[in-house]
Amino acid sequence: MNAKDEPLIKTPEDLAAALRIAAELEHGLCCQYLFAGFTLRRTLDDFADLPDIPENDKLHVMALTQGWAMQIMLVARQEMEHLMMVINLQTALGQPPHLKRPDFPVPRKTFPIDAHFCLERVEPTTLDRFLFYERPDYLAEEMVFDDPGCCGRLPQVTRPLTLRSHGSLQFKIKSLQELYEQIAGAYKGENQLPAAELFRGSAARQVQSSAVQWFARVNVPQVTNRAQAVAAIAQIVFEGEGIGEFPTSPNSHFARFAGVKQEYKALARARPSAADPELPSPDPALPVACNPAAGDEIPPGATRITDEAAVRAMRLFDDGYFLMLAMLRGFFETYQGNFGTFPTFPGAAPASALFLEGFYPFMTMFIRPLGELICRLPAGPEHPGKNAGPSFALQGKEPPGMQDLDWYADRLAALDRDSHALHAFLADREDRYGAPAVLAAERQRQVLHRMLLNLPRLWKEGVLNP
Amino acid sequence: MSETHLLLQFEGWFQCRLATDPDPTWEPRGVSGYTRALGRESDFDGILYLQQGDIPDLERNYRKGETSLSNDVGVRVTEAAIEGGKPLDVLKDAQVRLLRGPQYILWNQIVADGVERLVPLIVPFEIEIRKKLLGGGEIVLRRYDPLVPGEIGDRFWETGEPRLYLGRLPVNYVHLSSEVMEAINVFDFNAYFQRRKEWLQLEIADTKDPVEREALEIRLSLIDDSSQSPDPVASPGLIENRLGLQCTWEHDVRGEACFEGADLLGGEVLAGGIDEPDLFWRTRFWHGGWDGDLFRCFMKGSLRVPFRPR
Repeated sequence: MNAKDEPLIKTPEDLAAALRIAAELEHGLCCQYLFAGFTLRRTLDDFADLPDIPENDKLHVMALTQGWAMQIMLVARQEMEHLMMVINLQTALGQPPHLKRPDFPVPRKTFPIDAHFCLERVEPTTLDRFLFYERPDYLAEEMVFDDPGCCGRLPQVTRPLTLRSHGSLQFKIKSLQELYEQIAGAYKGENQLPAAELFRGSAARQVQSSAVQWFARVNVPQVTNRAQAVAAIAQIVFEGEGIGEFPTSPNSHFARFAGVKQEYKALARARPSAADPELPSPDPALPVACNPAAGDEIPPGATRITDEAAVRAMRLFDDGYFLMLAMLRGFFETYQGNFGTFPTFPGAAPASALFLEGFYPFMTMFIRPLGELICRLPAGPEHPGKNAGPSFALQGKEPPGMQDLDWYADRLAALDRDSHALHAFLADREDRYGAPAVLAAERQRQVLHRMLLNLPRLWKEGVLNP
Repeated sequence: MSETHLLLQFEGWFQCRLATDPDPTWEPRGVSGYTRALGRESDFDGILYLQQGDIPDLERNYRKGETSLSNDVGVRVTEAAIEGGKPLDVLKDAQVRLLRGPQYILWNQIVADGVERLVPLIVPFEIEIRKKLLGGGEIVLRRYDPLVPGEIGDRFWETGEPRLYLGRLPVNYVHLSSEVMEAINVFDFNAYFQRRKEWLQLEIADTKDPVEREALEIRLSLIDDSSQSPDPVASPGLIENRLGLQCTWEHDVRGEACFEGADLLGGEVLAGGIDEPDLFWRTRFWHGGWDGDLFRCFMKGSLRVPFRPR
């Protein structure tokens, strides 16, 4: 069944379910891409476990991984952009932003993609998986991905999850492209839904990237009519699968991942070291455990991390990730289109406070640096030679809508305390964890402390600097 | 005796190797921003080096460009005089430094704005004027300014109230400054980087070391990617349009001061009081002409030092 046949979306409730699936998909892809990017070896320190590799070979790998990280992070940012576009469609429909998603690993066919969702370090299977996620439908027969399971094992961790958020639509859509075709069919064509249903939400609450100065290849348009909605959906599949140019857009996620894979294969094929042909090519990714988890209950197929520093850092990461999502949801629910010239935002508090804390600071100064730090901590004695990694675990919790100042401040204060404790723990064991880890934790502590102190003033004034 | 002022004008290029948005502040080699540490270059340290000889591992970390625009690093005194008096040529060409490892502090929208306006703090701030005299001896003027006098000091992460250090934030930001264009003598930014690209292409052809060649190739591609993007939603020409920016600071310098070699300044300028804590120094300077490929930036400004002549 596909969009040309009988439509799957016949009611606003169907559309709401399809948008929730899209939101979970974009969100889940973003986490996987970020995770993979964090695992790349990018400094000479990252080769400490490969002492025999000549420095020139390491520098060559670093040049490659720098480019791969750039591509992977760019795609991850665009997945966030896609998530925000889906949220605008949800807002137009009068639905709340959907920021919940199942924890990793996610069994195949839970989403309309016949592959697991995994937290994997960069290796050939990972890149094949990413290409499969982003492939245009016309390559479906050529690009068969026989999913070996996360990290090449665990062929099927459990049966597909049945998620209430998917309504009755689950199992009926086969690809991301088809999902978006079905969604587009609700806005245009013979099966379109009534405009009064599609655009009953407040247009002012939709976020437009130009209004809040998002750059770096992020473009979020408002959707206040059928044409804008269809154009937004076309933008998503253009940027992802390259639909709209033949054979694909050179800037699509699919093409970017294809480029990374090509370079990865060339690296693996290359004569190892000119100095010593017997030496293996250096592995471009850190030995990060598969689907790392540190919660009280871990999902089937996850790796339980036991190293105490790593567990502390992973729990800090998950708590901060949850707070970030809660801030984003609060922002999306209260934004009124009243932001002034960036970054003054006159009269926009407290929505602007959530924006000023939730976007740049949490994404660039917490998620990424802490995620990268965790990938450089040991996984524990049960996993010799393996490193930990961030789990992006929500443990079934749904980020709440707008809360009062104390709710956010209490959680930031807890992050501040926990980051202080993490830094102290690492500093007391610098011989074991190394000076770079101690320094990274110290910086994280400073960042969270400053964010905590910023919040009350931002909540009141909505302005970064007076 | 009433106070008067020693006035110093300075200018020159400095170097700062740093990650740029949307990379985290401490990103070691650059990923998502337009600046990257490449090849054998050290990881970024984000420190402002006003003298070439102070740059760690200079050979590895001092990028070369076309010779006509080499932007040699070195901020120096161009004029010195007693207010209303004769020039003090003895201080001409003195080296200007910012000490204690100063960095631009934005922290990706946590401390200051850095998306469209670039208005960072510079922390720590300690300015030094140093001149070695041919005949022997050395003159040194040095003074530190705590960001927030008292307990917080330079630990800006321990306050959420920017009003405590408002004076240290830039007083002006201009995206395309004619003053900068005149100072660096570059009026066609596209041609400036076109010459860089041609120089890089020649270097690539002449370079046999694969690590160096790869680094040069990435520099070339970064200038291309960050100057003319076919992507309609990409930031337009970050490397190119940052060349015209100008950010100006003006503030007192209030902390501990040091003055050595007063007797070498000349009899009429013996500076009793130059290091008295209640007499604040004052500086006004701008940074501009940021070359994101060479990591060089031009600096021009003044330092006003009060003293009581004996």
